[in-house]
Amino acid sequence: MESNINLEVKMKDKPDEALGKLLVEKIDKSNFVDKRFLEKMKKGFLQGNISAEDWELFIEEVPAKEKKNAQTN
Amino acid sequence: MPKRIKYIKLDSFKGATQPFLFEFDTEKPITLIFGENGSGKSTLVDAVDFIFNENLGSLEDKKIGHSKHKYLHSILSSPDKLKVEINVAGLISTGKITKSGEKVIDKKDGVPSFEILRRSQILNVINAEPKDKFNEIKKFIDVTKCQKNEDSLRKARDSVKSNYNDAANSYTQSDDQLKKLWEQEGKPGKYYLTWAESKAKLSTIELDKYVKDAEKIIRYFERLEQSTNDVENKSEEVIKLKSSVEEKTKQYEEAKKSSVDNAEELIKTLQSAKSYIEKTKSIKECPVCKKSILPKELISDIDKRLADFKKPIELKKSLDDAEAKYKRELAVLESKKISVQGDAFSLFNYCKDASLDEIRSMRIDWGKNKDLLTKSESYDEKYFTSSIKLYKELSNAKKEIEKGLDSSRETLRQITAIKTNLDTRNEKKILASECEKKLKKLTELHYIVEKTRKDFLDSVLAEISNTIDEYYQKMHPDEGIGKIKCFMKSGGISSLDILAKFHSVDDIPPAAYYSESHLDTLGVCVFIALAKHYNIYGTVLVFDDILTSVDVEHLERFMELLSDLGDEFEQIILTTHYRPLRERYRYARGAVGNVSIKELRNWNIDKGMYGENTENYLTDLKKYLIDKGFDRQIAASKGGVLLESLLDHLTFTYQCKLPRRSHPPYTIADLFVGLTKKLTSAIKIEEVVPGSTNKGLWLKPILDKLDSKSWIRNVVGAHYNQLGMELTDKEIKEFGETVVNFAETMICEKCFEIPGRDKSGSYFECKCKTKRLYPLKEPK
Repeated sequence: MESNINLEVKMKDKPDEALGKLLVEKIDKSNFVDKRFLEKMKKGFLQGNISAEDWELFIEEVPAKEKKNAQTN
Repeated sequence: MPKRIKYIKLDSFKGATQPFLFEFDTEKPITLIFGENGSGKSTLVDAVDFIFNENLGSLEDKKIGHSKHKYLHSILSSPDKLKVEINVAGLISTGKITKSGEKVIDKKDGVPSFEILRRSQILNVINAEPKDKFNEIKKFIDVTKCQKNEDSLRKARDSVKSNYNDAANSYTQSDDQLKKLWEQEGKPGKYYLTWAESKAKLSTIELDKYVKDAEKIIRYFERLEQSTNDVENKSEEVIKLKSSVEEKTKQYEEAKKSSVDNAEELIKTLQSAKSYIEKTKSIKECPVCKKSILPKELISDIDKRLADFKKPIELKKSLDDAEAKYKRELAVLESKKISVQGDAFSLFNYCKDASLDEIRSMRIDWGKNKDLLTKSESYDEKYFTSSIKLYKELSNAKKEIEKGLDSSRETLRQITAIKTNLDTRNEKKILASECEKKLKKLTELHYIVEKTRKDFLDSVLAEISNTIDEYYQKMHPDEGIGKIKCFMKSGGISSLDILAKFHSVDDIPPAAYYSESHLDTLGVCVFIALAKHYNIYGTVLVFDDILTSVDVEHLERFMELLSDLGDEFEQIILTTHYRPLRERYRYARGAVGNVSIKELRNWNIDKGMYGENTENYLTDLKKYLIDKGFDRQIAASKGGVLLESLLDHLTFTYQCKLPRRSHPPYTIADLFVGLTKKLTSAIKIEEVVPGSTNKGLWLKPILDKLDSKSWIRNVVGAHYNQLGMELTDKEIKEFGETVVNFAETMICEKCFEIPGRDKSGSYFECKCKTKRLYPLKEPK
């Protein structure tokens, strides 16, 4: 079976935690979620409490000005 | 140091009707607990489940209602007396139940996890529906938290999709509406939107003012129309009343002519006379003129005269009433006329200043009618008549105003509709575009999350499948079964299925083709593979009487598998009622070096559970040989049985020729016959000593000695026999000690296994490869 799952991560953690880590990693790479929401998303995966409203917030576009400030900082 | 159970203490817990202590040998990773049915094996396992998994153990599967906890304490005892204490590597965890059925568990931190497999679970893992299969192994592949987040992501995606659809629909509807309005107008201009936008820019101030003025003037007209109608109706009524008065006057005048003077006084006199006559029944003459009278006739005559005199009076009363009513209604009519004057005054004054073309075009000379622009508080015939005249004149404009009002209202409605639809169209276009962007992101994000979850579970299950298959192949090598595949059923998040190979056909459901014992072992392998996969913080495996239909061959392989797993888990506990399993451990027939055997015996309700150690046969025999109260019969018998077991192994290993019989087993003598002189002379046991030369020992001297003494087993250990009586204790002990010597030579001290594995290609060896048995084949 073909899979690009990181087995090392999987063996160390319980299934939910391992999958949560993988998902955060993949979502981060996808760039659909802004960096400022990553911590909240990680916590949400750990606790299983990301709501539909949270998801909508996560994918909101960062205003250009805010983005520029963040890059400068 | 592995964390192993040291002891289990029970009081009033299920089968433990009396306080019960069960100790484990923590030196050995595997503990076999043998007990016949009803000896308390499940009680021990349930105690472990109760403390470490906080559930009701074997009661969980029983259909005995919701209050299962009430069956956890021993019968004839009460819940509050129940106590369980388990020591795991010095960590003492306890549990009890309150009277209300609440569990009070004190589970110490640092204890390993306890995975318990019961036979019912095996059946569920293999035979159940995919959903139930998943539930059985859920905790091993449980990703509930991630699934919750995936669900909410799906919800967000669907919600945005729904918003997008709503916005797109509203946009289309508004756009269609604008096109329709444009078409209704005859498609002016080149493009409906240009037309709509120019229309939306139009000011409606003038139109609004016109509509307002027109509506007001129409209201004045309607009010005046109503009040003039009222006057007309009232006038008709007053005319009728007047005629009625005139008629009644005439009738009264006529009646008066036939009447007398002082008619009213005369009526009173006649009424008094009538009353007098009626009261005085015997009257025969008139009290006034003294003439004789007939009372009945006289009363009748009085009645007639009274009627004639009353008519003018009644007519007069009716006339008075009619006159009063006429006057009242006349006054009402006048007040209505005053209302007409007032309503006309309001209408005229509004019309005078109105900007409506319909009024202006009439060119009313307001100077000529200036009296009518002043309010008259009382009725004025001239004022009234002039007002009506002017009202009639103005009424011609009313129809035109109503027409204009309808047209203006329609124009306003159209402009409002255009503006509303244009606004909605533009607003929804922006909203739909925003939703579309969001939807795209959420859809792709959901795809990533769903795919990652599926891939993850697939990879975990693939890995678990490989482990299951590895174990299953150990249990069933070259049997044409295996190639186990566990996978999540497509479309079902919590749905698991298992496929396997059956001879030349792959991917069949094992439950449909495998025998019951093959399904049993498959269930066991699934469980062990899962437990091994998630053996993160240390695990104790507990098998509760799972082997029921396993033959000797598979039993050996199962023992082998368990022995291999001994070091991978903190501890393995296996309960069984299957005596052959116990005996194979006792006779060192298999991988038994890391196994301790315990036994539960003779349960009864008064004494409760009873447990003891079970020694292997060699230790058992040695104990009897040094016993102070030496029992000749036991020593001879046990020595013979152990000798038989060892010879059985040798003749089986070398496939010796034995006398053919319809009913085995073979006697010791038969087995010795099977060992030919050539073979006996060739058999050698060698012990591998790291760092020095291997020690070798030819078995021929021991075997010869045993062959010559083996009759002792029969004559002393099995029969009443004169020869046996003549033998000394020393001779019997010597026989026993020779058997012990033979057993110790054959059995490996480390793994407690007789060499029987032929993988080396030149000798047999034990599991730990310390002892070797030569030759590999009987010399020709």
